[in-house]
Amino acid sequence: MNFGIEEEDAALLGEFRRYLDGLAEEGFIPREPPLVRPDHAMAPEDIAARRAFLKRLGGDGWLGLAWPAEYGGRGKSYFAQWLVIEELSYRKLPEMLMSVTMIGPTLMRAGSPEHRREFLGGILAGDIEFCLGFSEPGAGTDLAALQLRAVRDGDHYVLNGQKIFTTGAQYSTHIWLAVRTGPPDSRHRGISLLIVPLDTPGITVRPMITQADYRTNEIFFDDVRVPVDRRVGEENEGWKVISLSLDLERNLNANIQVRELRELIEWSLAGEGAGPRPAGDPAVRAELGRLATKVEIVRLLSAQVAALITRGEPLAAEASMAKVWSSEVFQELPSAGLDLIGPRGQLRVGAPGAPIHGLVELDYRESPVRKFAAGTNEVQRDIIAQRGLGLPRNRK
Amino acid sequence: MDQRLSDVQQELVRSADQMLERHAPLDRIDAVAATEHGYDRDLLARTAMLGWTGLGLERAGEESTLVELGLVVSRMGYFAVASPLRATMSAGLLAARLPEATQACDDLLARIAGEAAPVCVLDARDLDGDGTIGQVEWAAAADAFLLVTAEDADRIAVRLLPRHHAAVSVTPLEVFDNERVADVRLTALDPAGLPLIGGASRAVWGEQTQLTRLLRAADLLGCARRAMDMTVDNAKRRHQFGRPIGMFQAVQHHSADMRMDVESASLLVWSALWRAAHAHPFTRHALMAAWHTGEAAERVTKTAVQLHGGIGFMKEYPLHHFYRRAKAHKLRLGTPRHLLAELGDAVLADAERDFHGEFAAWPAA
Ligand SMILES: Cc1cc2nc3c(=O)[nH]c(=O)nc-3n(C[C@H](O)[C@H](O)[C@H](O)COP(=O)(O)OP(=O)(O)OC[C@H]3O[C@@H](n4cnc5c(N)ncnc54)[C@H](O)[C@@H]3O)c2cc1C
Repeated sequence: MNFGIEEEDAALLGEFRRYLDGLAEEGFIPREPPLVRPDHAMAPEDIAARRAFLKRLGGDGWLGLAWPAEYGGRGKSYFAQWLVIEELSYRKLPEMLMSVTMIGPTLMRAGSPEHRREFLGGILAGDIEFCLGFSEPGAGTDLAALQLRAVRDGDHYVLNGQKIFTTGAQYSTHIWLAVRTGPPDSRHRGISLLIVPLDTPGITVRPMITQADYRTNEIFFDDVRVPVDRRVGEENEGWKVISLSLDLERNLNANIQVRELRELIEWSLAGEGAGPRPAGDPAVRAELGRLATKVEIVRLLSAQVAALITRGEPLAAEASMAKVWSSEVFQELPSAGLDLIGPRGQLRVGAPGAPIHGLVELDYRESPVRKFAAGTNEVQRDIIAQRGLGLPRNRK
Repeated sequence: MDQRLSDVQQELVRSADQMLERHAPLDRIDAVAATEHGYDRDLLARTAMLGWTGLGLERAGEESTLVELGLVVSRMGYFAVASPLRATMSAGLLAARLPEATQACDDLLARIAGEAAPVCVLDARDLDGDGTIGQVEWAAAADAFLLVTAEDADRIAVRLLPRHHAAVSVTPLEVFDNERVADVRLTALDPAGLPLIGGASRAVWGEQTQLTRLLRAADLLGCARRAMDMTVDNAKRRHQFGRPIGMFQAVQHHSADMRMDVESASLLVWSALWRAAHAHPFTRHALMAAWHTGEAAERVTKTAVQLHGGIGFMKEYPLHHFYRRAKAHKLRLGTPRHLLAELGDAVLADAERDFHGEFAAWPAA
């Protein structure tokens, strides 16, 4: 049993912190985190700044720290990579989490040599970034119901249909796309996985604005032609690739919550204007103690998952427990935070005089999403009960 | 970072389970509770033979087995064993951590480790030779007390007070679980006449309070885990509507919540004990573990009764022992609102000192 971090990992984290401090001194990144998280960037100049930062990170060797040297990585521990991504989310900087921890490693295992040559280097350089094209209007939790058609035409597939909630499509270069190559009712036996550049003719991206004011997208495919060699895995065996990539989608950044906790604590210590410090009120202190405990559990559960992956051990219920707990605390923090702040909490993000710049209300509006996205918590609870406790399966 | 038990720790847990399965099975709980002192003396002697009563009693600088102590205490909770073991080990931890210890201290530690002599702590810091110390666990069973008095604003003294000293009277209380608890009345006691065990700063006493809570949290964790295991076993065997009730999604989701309560409490308890064992600051972590584990154990045992249905409500089925123990031990951690207030103070104090550098940092392995 060991709840500490290894010397080498701690040293790398220290080096990375100094590196980021240096970028801030240089003026390359802001000293204080922006109001809007970088993964929510919508304006062209924000998207450009996001890309420039990622390319800098990549050029300086900080993307994909744990990737093996043969793919251009630095071969450090997965845990060190997790700590570096945690540091980025603590500072609200872009981290390209999905491409680095999910798509890249899936390509290393399931991609062809050409795929690896074409995409892995680009990811590490910060040039190539993927968005995830799984969900459709008729296929959410029941992903195997997806219907976007891909019909063979010589050495191409021709795609027709639609994806929904495709987040980050406005700044990604490629989409990691699940399509139907088998008959409509073939479920998970008729799905294939394609890599498609987002600038391919026939693709239309339509913004959908969330209740948290950031953007996700609908994507329409009209006779989009994709070379067959952009398929990852065998035809109709895309479900294996999807499962592999979803298994790798286990990286949780606890530090988003740690940051929120810090903002609430600092607010309670500083107070607003000339009024008394909220921290002087025992009820406020007790509530912060409760919230800090919830956040500590998020950290411990997330670190446990990172440690399991680092040792190459299979994840049973641990990843689902971390996901459920973390997404629920993600909602509880701004809910309880606004209750602590009281009526002035209604001031919207960026409004003059809003406590904590109104970030808590923005987080409150964003907070439901993690509970149903990336595998809804209802299904995660099924997994915990079945894989973690051995209760019988209840559906096919 | 490795949350798993080491091979040695796993072996310790296995042997604990074997011993408790044999000598403290659930169907003996009622018989033990009906005895005069409410615990099994032979079992306590066995814990000494197995070396449990020496765990965690190292002096500063020696390699600590505090986590291992937590592990056996947790297994005692898993079997709902009523025993002075935990209270004794809390007293032992106090004695072992006193920076200025006497020969009497070494003798006492030898008796705890060697014979499992039951001892408990009397917090008399606010008394002046006269008065009552309320709700002392296993006071009636103790051979001796560790009497803690305030020397001055910054220091405490610890002395050995024999159970049958003329100034001591013990009044058992009736409580709703199988723990034995008593009020201890002191009359015209002159502490100066008692053998000195040692002295320490108030900070040492503060840590002692947290360690006592952590051991209780370890017990609660075992208790919650057992209630969950019994419930899951039952959900696999019990059929309604022609299928195991464990197949219903509502039952699965309640079970998943139990599992998360147990996991989260477990991570908090072991990380806090690990910190204490490795000389990292642990006050805030112990308070978090104590508060959350109390809440979690109460929730888990309530859900356990719900998912069992009627049989779980019957005295002939052992679940009620865990239901009672969880709530009673939670109360012994301190009034929840006071515990939370103390936790809030610790969180703010730590955060104000240095949030990024210390509050949110991982300790060195
Ligand atoms: C902001 C945002 C970003 C997203 N980003 C992406 C992305 O980048 N790429 C992508 O592919 N998708 C993305 N998604 C889609 C997301 O993964 C889906 O919302 C999710 O899979 C749930 O599907 P659904 O919304 O269709 O809800 P439904 O599946 O219709 O679920 C509705 C409710 O029914 C419950 N339910 C469904 N099935 C069961 C069951 N078997 N047992 C119990 N309860 C059940 C669900 O838990 C939920 O509470 C995003 C969604 C949002 C809102």
